[in-house]
Amino acid sequence: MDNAAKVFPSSRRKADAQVFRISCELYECIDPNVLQRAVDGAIGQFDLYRFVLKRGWFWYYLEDSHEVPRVREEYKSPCAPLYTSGKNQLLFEVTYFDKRINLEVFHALSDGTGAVYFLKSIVARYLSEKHGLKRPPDDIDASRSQLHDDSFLHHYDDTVKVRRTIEPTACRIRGRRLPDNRIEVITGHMSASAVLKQSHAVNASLTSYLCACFTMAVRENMPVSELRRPIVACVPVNLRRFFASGSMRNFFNTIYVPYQSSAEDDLTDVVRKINETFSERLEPERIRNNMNGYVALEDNIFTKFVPLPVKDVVLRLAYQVTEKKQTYSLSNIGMITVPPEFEPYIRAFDLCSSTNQLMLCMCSFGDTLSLSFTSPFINKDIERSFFRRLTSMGIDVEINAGQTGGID
Amino acid sequence: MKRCVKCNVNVRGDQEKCPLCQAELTGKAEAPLYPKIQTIYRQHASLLRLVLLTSISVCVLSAAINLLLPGSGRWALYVFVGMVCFWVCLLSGIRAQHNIPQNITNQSLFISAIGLLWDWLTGWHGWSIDYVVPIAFAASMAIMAIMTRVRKIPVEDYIVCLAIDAVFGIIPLFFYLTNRLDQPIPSLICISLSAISLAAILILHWKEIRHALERRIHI
Repeated sequence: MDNAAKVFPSSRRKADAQVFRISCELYECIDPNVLQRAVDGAIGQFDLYRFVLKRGWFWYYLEDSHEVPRVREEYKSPCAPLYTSGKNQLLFEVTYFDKRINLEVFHALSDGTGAVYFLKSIVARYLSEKHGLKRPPDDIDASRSQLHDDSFLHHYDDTVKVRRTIEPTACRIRGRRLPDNRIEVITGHMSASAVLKQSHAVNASLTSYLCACFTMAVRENMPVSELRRPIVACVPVNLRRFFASGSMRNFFNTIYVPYQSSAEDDLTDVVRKINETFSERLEPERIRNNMNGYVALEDNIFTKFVPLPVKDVVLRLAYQVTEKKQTYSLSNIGMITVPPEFEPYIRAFDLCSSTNQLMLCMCSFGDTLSLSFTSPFINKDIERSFFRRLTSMGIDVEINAGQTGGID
Repeated sequence: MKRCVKCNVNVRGDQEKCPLCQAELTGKAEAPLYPKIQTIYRQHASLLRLVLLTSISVCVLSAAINLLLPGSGRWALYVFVGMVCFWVCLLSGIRAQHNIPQNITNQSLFISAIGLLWDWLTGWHGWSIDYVVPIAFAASMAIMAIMTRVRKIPVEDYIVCLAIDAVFGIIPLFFYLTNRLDQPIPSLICISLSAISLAAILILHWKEIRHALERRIHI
């Protein structure tokens, strides 16, 4: 398994299943039979998704299985656990509801970018069959071994001396949590160009700008005593931007973007500070150093010989320590494009992820920017502040939120 | 589409209150965007709690009764140890419920260990190594062979467990050779069975074993 994936099975908890979901919303109701055939075809092409997770004596490993994926109508809450220890089950699930196709993936298998390839293939096959269109060739240019490549090991440079930095403790979001480890999803759709206009007006990237808006929303709703610690955003960075890779598996590292609150700062100041921090942390040399650091941990002879049950405990504790260094997570997988003949049938793509704290996931399709908040908290004040800030700038926002069922 | 005038957002679906500020929404409802999911009450969790409560009550009651009748020996201790053994088997069985070969192997190991422990605690009469150990291992090999045929589990999944069982079946051989056995028949049956299984596995499935072990032991 790749370097990032090795953490996920051990750091799974009831509170955080390490599952993310990418959805594609169409303008028509989904036909389950066509969808099933589309999934069968896509899995034939991307056989990584047929793999199941097994426990070895020192590490978890992925193994090809004979399991056949079955498409179902959506029947559980978003990003519910997908992996039970010991069970031979697929690490992804395709469900549908009304006009929406959902792909949920256990993070040990793939990251957002990898999963987008898979979902696009499913949607392309679905729409071609449903509307009699000719399916154009996929926009991926990678052989089977390139798709399965462990890009972390591929690009690991063990001659580089690793400099480790200690991150400060971040301020934490607290509050009453939903019962039963449930998480709620609130998705907002808006015009991407409208938001880009705002971000370009202050010379910031879209991610920096929205990160600043999020940080302001957190600052507004945090007790003052807590604000003496920095508000830290944990942002996954797609390493395919820095290293050549066609891998469908995990190939990302996370960076921390801290912001020390100051009461005098208004949005422009916060944007400026956060944009600077992003530029600094996204320097290729720093990213390279970070990546080498993570793989070096795995490459260590002491780590290799520790039995898996001990690794499970250690990794879970390490994960809980890193949770203290972040206030929230923010993930942007960028623009999703499809061949022009399919564009008229697709309304939007959405991305959300399970989390133990607050998380914002974003992606865009055409001019629709989709922002999804996932939260285990009952209190939605931060989301409210965030969206009200956007609407106060004249941006039209459409919200949809998951239902919370009753307890029987 | 519904609208929240406080937040200034449009709200899709059929919500009655704004998801952000819980104010009442105005406008017309649309088709819901998410299905209504009901949480399932976790029945097995409550059953397990019931069994735990019963076990604790039994231990406490037997301790109390034993203290009232000091002349009858320290039998409450056996009740307590018995409960612990029961729970070890139960929990490991639940944990490995999806992996039958692993479960069978674990249970036969636990039963043998518990048998040895019990024999030692009751003054060592030797019945554990005469009967419990060989019968447990021989039975687990037989059950595994039957179950894997009946359930059609692919070879790769059970091959390592079968090998482990066969190897452990050689333990009675140690007891036999060091003349600790009063009753050699069960042990001899077990030893023969495990020797034949081991030979069969190695001859017929050597490649699969090596493959499976390589992946499991990969560092």
